[in-house]
Amino acid sequence: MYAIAVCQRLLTLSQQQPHSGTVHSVFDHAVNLELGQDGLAGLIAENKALTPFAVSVRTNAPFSQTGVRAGMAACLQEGNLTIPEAGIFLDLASAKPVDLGIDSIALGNVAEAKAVLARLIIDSLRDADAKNSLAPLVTGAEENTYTRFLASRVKHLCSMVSARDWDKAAQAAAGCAGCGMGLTPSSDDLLTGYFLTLHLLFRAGNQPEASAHIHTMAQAAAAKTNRISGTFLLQSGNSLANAALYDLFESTFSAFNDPQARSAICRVRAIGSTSGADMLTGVVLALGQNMGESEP
Amino acid sequence: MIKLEVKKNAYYDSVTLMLISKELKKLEGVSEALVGMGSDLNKEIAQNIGVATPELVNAVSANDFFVAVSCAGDEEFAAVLKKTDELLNKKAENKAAAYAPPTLDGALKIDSDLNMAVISVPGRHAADVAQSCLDNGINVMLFSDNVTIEEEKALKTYAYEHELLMMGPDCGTAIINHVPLAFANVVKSGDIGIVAASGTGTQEVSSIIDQLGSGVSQVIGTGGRDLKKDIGGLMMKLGLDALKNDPRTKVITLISKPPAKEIASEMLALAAKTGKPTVVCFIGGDRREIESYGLVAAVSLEDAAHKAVALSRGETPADYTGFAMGEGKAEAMAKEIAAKFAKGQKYVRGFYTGGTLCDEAMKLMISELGHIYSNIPLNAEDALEDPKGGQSREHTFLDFGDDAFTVGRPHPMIDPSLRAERVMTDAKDPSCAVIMADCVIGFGSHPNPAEDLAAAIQTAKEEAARAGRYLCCVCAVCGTEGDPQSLSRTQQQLADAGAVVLPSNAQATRFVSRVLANLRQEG
Repeated sequence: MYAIAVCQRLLTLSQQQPHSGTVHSVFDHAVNLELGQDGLAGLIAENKALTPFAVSVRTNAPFSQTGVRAGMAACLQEGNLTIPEAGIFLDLASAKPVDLGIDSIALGNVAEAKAVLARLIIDSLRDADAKNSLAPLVTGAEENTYTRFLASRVKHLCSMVSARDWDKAAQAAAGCAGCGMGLTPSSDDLLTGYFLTLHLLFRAGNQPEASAHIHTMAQAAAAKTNRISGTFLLQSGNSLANAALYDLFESTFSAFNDPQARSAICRVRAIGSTSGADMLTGVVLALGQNMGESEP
Repeated sequence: MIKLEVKKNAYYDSVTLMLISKELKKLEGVSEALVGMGSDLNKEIAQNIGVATPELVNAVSANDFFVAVSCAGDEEFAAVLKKTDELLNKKAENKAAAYAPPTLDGALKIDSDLNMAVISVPGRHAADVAQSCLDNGINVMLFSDNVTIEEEKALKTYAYEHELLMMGPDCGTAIINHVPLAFANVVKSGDIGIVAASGTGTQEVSSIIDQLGSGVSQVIGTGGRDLKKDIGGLMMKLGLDALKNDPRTKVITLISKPPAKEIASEMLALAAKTGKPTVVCFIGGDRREIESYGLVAAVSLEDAAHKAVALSRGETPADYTGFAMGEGKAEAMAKEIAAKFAKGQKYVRGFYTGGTLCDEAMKLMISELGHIYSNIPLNAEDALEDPKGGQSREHTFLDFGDDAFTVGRPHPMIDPSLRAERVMTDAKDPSCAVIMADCVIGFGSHPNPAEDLAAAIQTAKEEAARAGRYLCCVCAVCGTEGDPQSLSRTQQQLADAGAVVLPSNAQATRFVSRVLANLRQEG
């Protein structure tokens, strides 16, 4: 088992001071670590999209079959991540560092990106799992238990963000969080895509102060869901995206590249059961809002 | 009665949660079920759909996993708990029982006599892993695809020189010493050895051999590119040699798409030299060339199975181009169906999860249909531009296992839902008369691949009837009675949905040809 790529933030953290903690949870394709930060850090299987504060790991077996268990001690120091009891020693410094901060994405023709990206995503979502995902919110497919419940709440959130009523927007975000069947409830995934897209749109609209408000919304939402899902929400509030979403934004907001954008959409769709589709739904919802970004 | 089960601070992956939710709703006496993490909104949904309890509302947190159900009584709730535990523990048991050493070195420490590795890793790493196995004297079944032709050549050259099997890349099926690997069927042991460069083609032949009461000694896959000039049929050669020297193998069956001419000649010469009766199924290949080597040519996958069984029994093989139900009955059925179509209904749509089965069906029908539009077309000009997103065109056959359909989702033999959706879409086309589909069962396939297909067929036929049309659905199930899904149960599900179920892909194709012939006479 060895490190292939690492989120730059995790690498930097590992090179600062020692962080000790425990293994929070173990899945076939991911291990979450509680290291005393706002959110969890993690190991993720190489064939999955790298997530913020995680290291991409090459392993010949699912993590759940490698002996690592929740509660085991874990340590991050001097560029290494170790779980001694499971025999895991990962040299982060030798892995490829990856910047997952979307604030580093140079912005090109945002108006074009908005129009084209929304269309591409909706086309892709037409064959998403309409019974269990939130995709019907943007595809017009028949509503399901969750979309029926969330539709008005999501609409309210979008209205409050458009009105820049940030207190109510944070309440509305909290009012949307934690809804759905999965480990990361669908609405959390939707919010993750939504918050990340808002970061880009507000930056395009020369409103950097909005970033703090998105962070506040994400915090409010994270408090309403489980620790794992909350971590992704907090990271999206801090402009940190998983690698698939990052690639999608870069291939559209920087200089539009159709094949790369389609490929990235496929990779986002492949996340979780419905998580990817839900994230993309959140992206489309944000793209439908005017954040004051300049028109062509 | 509303009942609740809670597991504190418990995290399960989304796939498990989805599966539990789906399975609980199927239980008798369960009218509603909600599965999830105990966030406020999920509790609110539980209230909305009438499955909330005071405990759920007050004592369950966002980090707790819960199952809330509305059920008829305690007995039904006990069934809910049993099913939930079964699904959760099944995964845990699987993990405990199947400890997988994370490295090859670790595996060899546990058992230094290992002699077969099935490799399924991302393509760019597959060659390295395969070479490590070969270096340790381990035969390889390389399930992974996206391995370059240069890597394949290097691996196979090394394996050939060291007399090791290097099956693949993109090798979907094999049965070695009666152990099925990857997508394979429960086939009786016998004296027919198969070496093949075709996944579902091999499954079709081995399954029909089983259905005819015979069995296989070995099934060796080579990977689809083995008979290309670049590779030179290295594994086909090794496979033929292995079957020649295998005392349990009495008859050899060779299956592939038509190879390059010089490779074909070499393989046929080698097959002839084995000294064992050999059936060759070069799907759509040159029959006379095969027979010029004293070998037995098959006209279809089904025919290959029949001829291999005949040879195994010491009988003289003859072309099998008939119907198990009998000629007269098939013709009468075809005529009856053709009379039901509305004006304008004239096209066939073939929707396949098995690439070779799709290819075979097209080859058996192309002379009659003229043009068959496809994502794996027989002629380049018949390629569909957008097979996944676009509409079918006249006679259209789709291989749902092709890359165009599998990006970001499992192979259709594992998740056939996309194909089922396409059945319903094309059923709305007023020019569509017949929908053909395969249903591949066995290890590795969906636990009940007929379920989605049967539902789609039933709905499609009903919708067509409401629109004043008749939709004919023709299916063939590839598999055996011993498969976990059961051949007869699978066939019955499809028949119950209104499909005409034939025992082989070739018979299904011939039957559709009969329907079309009658339709032309009608019109």
